[in-house]
Amino acid sequence: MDCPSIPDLNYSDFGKQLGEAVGNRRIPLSAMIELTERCNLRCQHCYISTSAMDADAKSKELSTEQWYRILDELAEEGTLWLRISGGEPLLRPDFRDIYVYAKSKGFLVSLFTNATLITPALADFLHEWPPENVAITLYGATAETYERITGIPGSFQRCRRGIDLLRERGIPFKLRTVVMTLNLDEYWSIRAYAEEIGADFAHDPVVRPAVTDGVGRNPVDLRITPEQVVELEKALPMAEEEWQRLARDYWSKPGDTLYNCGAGLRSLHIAADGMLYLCAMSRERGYSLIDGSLREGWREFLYEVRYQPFTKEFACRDCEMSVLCARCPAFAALENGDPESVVEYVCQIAHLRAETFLP
Amino acid sequence: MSDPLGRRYQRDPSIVYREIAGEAILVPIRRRTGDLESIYTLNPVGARIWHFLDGDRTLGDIKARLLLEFEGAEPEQVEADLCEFVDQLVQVGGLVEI
Repeated sequence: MDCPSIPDLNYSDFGKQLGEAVGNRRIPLSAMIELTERCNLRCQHCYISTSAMDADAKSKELSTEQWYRILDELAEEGTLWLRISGGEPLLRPDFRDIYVYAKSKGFLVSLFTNATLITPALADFLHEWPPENVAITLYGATAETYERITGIPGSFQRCRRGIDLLRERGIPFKLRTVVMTLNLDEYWSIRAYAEEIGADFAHDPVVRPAVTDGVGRNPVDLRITPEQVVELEKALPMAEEEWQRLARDYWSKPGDTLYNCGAGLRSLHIAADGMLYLCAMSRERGYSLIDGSLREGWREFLYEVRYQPFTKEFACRDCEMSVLCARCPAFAALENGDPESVVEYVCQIAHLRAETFLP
Repeated sequence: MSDPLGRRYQRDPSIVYREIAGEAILVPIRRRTGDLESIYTLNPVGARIWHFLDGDRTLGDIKARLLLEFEGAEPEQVEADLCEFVDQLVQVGGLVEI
């Protein structure tokens, strides 16, 4: 008899161990659930933002009990990491009920929020039921810039207060930003703030096309230029080494299938109306979890979506630089209406990265 | 000191048992449990013991089950391992003696 033991592992080490145990099997280890499309902010760049007061969007949201049933099914199917997102998930009056239910199923729960709705009471609640992490998007280092993006006066102070409430209680969180024309000038100040408070920080340099109607402006108009993307990366510590390492490890043409990422293999996405998708961006083909089961949706429907073959020739099929490129079929479908097409903007960024960082 | 084999324990709801891809793990979900930045992995023997810790069986009952299931195991060693394992689970908040 082996000696029973309980080695404790941090999440990252356990993730590696689990990855090896899973091997080639398809298991949705990671699930993102959008509790609502609605948000209290009106960010100009957001790919999914419906007004907090939007009655139509609200009427389509799953009920508390429907989410409980889906969480039961996710646990059955082997999900460990559960990412609760939106819209702004804290807008749901039943947020705490759904969150505690998810915790009680043994998911490692992380929360994606703009932090503006974090109150002392909610921070106490999160302290009692700790998330694996809270990911907060910070759009600016000043109220002027932040609120030019979010469109809501006072939102900067509320966001900073939310961050402080988490910090005071030692609740793990990380800061993220999307770099766009409206906040490029403040990138280094946002980063300095994250460093000052000891928060993990990352930026996304690519504004995505919207999957909902958004706030009336096309988010892609807010993109910085490919040159600006790479200039920013050049100034980051270790960027050259990191791109070279990625290129060394992953330089290859795509396989025979349209999708080549972990979506549909290790992860899935569930929208506020109960539609099951490969990921947050991939909205072309979905499966209704109101009418069907997660098991069937994952094992049959998403299997078929994940492994659909290419149907035509186009430049990306022969390109070995995908590791430098943010393009994916879902992105191309949103950008051009065709999942089998080049996304010119990120293609330019990829080529510039190759020229700049690779020997 | 009471005979450890007469003790009974129940699982604390603030730690949740999961099996994912054949890996048995314990996930702390609430502040009062051990290290919330970690999860605990159980080897197959540990997972069996966890299932036996149902609040009804005594450690003596569990020892007897283990000796039946794991042929050739030494009774003294099984008892020592079992008690140590249960102590660890109590320390991380996964078990409560009843």
